[in-house]
Amino acid sequence: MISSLIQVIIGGLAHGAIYAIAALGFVLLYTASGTVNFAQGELIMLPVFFIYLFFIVFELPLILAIILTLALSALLGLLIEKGAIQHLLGKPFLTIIIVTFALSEFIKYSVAIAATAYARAFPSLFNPTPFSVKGIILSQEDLGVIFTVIGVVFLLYMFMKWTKTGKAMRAVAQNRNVARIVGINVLGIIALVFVINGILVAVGGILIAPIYFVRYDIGVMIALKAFIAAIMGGFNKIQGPLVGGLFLGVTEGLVSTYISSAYRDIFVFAILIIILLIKPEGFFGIKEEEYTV
Amino acid sequence: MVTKTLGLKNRKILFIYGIISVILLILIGIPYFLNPYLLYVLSLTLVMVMAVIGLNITMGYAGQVSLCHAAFMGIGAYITALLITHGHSFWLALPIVIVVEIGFGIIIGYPSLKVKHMYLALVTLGFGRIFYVFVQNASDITGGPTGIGDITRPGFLFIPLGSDLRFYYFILLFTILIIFSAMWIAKSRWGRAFKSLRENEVKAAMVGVDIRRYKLLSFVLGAIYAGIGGCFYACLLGYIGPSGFTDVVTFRMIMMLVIGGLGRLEGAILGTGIITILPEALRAYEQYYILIFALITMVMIIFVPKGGIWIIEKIITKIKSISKLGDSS
Amino acid sequence: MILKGKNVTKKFGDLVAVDSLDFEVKEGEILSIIGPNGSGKTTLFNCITGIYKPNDGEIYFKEKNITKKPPYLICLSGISRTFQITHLCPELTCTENLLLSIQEHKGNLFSRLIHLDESEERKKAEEILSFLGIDRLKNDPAGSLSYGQQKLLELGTVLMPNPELVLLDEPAGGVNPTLIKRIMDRILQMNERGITFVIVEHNMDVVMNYSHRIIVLDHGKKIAEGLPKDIKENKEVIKAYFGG
Repeated sequence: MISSLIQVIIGGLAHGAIYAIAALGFVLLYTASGTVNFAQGELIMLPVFFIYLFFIVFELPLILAIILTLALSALLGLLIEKGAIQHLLGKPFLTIIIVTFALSEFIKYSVAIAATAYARAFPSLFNPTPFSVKGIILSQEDLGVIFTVIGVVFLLYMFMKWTKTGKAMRAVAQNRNVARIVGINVLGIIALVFVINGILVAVGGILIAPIYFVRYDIGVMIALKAFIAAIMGGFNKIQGPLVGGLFLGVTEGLVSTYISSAYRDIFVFAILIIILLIKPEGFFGIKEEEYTV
Repeated sequence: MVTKTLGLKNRKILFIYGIISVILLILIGIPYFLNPYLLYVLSLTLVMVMAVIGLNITMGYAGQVSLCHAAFMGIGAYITALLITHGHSFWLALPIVIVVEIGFGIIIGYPSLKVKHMYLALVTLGFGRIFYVFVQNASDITGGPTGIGDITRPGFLFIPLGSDLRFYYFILLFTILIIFSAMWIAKSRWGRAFKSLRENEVKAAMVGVDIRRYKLLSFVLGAIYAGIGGCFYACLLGYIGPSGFTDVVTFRMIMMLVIGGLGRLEGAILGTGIITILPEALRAYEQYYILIFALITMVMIIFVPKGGIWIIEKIITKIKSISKLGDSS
Repeated sequence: MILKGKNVTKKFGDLVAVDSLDFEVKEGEILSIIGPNGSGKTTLFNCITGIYKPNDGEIYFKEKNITKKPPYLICLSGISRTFQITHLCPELTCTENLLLSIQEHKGNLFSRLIHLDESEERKKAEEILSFLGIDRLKNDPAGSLSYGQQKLLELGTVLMPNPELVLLDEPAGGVNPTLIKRIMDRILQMNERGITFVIVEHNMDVVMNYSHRIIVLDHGKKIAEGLPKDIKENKEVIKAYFGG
């Protein structure tokens, strides 16, 4: 039936929007600093705890809780950049993977110890009543997620296109060395990108809190999906991870509903591997002229 | 006087043989002083050493990113468990596991020929996930989340090895064989070819090293060692489940390798020993130890990339030079 | 002709690095390839040795088509090369770097595992290290060598498997004159024993004093070819280097 298909697609888009925003942060980090942030999942998980803390535990007004969450997450991004990433610039790739992997484990288990494994619930920030349009049942939650993410991404796009700092970011992403020579404060830009990533994942975290519960291990699968989305979409500009994320979300939803829910992950990874072997640069990526050995 | 006449190089070899002999004697004699739980921990350490030695070949020597090592181990464990619980012998399982691991090593290694670094990391991570999801859900074959139990230990030439003590010696014997084989590989031209992959792939290709073949080979060998470790793991525990082969386990193995010394056989052994034994011997909360080890891993790979083994060697050299100063005065 | 290239073309997007190039290398000669920066010299080397696949054209080594072959096979056929920036395995010792250069030329995959005896190869490695004057460094990791010593070691790795054709990419780059003479004298010695050399160089003293023949490239095209004394006076060459 068309209507249930559309429902599945919209649900997929909602999940995909989350992957997209996480993937976007991931791609920005990579293009700006050359580092792969394997701790991205934990950086999404933390704001979930932050918003829970501020809104539920401290019972602050929602707007204030959101602002504090964004600010704290941004600060955390800065701390990580200064504390860990600065040492990694220029180091061999294996080292970067191991460090960020270790960092993700460190964050994950710190939270596990502090908050235990208990999964806490978080209420939906949107009106939970579904409404129907021409026989298709839509949830405000799903639509809210999709439009929030698109809105944030749009703002980021505007920022990068029209502001001086945004243009500096693009220059650094293109070629760090040339940007440095031209006089751009590359290290400052890298720090800024980590702050932006902090904000992006905080938005993502706030949106997923009602869906994924508040628990120390929710970052793991999201991170994996975000990486896949980034690769599928290509490490190029903003369209890449955005489209990659949405595509992944919809594919997941379709596979889960129409083929098999339990083996969904296997199908997704199989698709990833196929894409990697056929077109490793993703939908929008540029093929690097790699020397062949 | 004996050491003086043998010359400087022989003295070093004597020293190393001395240390190895002491360690061996300890490993042979210590079970009599350990309670069953600590004996289990020691046995588990030896089993993990087998797997981590494999990881050292793929990641340490050849420099290939492999984030699915636990899955390789899991393949060995599940095949062994299935065969044994269906009445077959451990000795049938072992060669079958090796053959299957060769196959999977090639399958997983193949992407390493096409993609690098981050993409390879994701492919291997993905494979690890696929394995986990599969064993978690294919309950008919793999027992699902509850896994497979009642795995009996094998015998050898009519000597039953069921008791914890005997099985420990059995594991010890195999671990020694595996260490020898790894030493052989490292010293051989294979070892040098692997290292050239890590050091300078372009140079290696330009001097005639078949990059593709050796990359695949590094994955195959890593998988084989992990698989053998998996066989012993299944029999040691008597039961296995999906939770024993997650990416957390893979990461733990990476930690063992990094803390001990990435790229060094001794490092693999040292690191595995530290990470497996220390928390148990000191009876602290496991979760705290993960934090500490993760932190140490991060610091080490950046500032002390040669690992714990390098630190120990530096200490020994320092002690020697200090004692030499003492001698001359 | 030990090496022949027909219509070799290599593009990077819109940039044509090597443009329909025809070239020949005579057996036993020392051929220099010169040209301003960006004229495609190193790209040509990369195409010959299989690191880049040419978009068009063919390359023949001893009458056999090597155009699409992977680098390691081209090396095993008898071509060795050096790089502008020395490529060595820094953690391996000098001796081990040399042993690496020869180990894949003999036997098969399994013999390389089974046979541990390398005494013959070690003797040869020592000979080559003495020939180059760096034998006292034989057990030092290659990464600890000075730049000049590394250049000599790289030359050693190139000579170890008894190649028939050696491509040298700027052997005199960043090296003091005494060392340059030492390197070039060794090259002359090896050339007398029958090894063909193709050298990419910017150092005109080296090019003029040691080459039998010179090819000049500009923007990926051959603009001149001939004996050193002819090239020196060639107007096109002067224009390419100094502008119109």
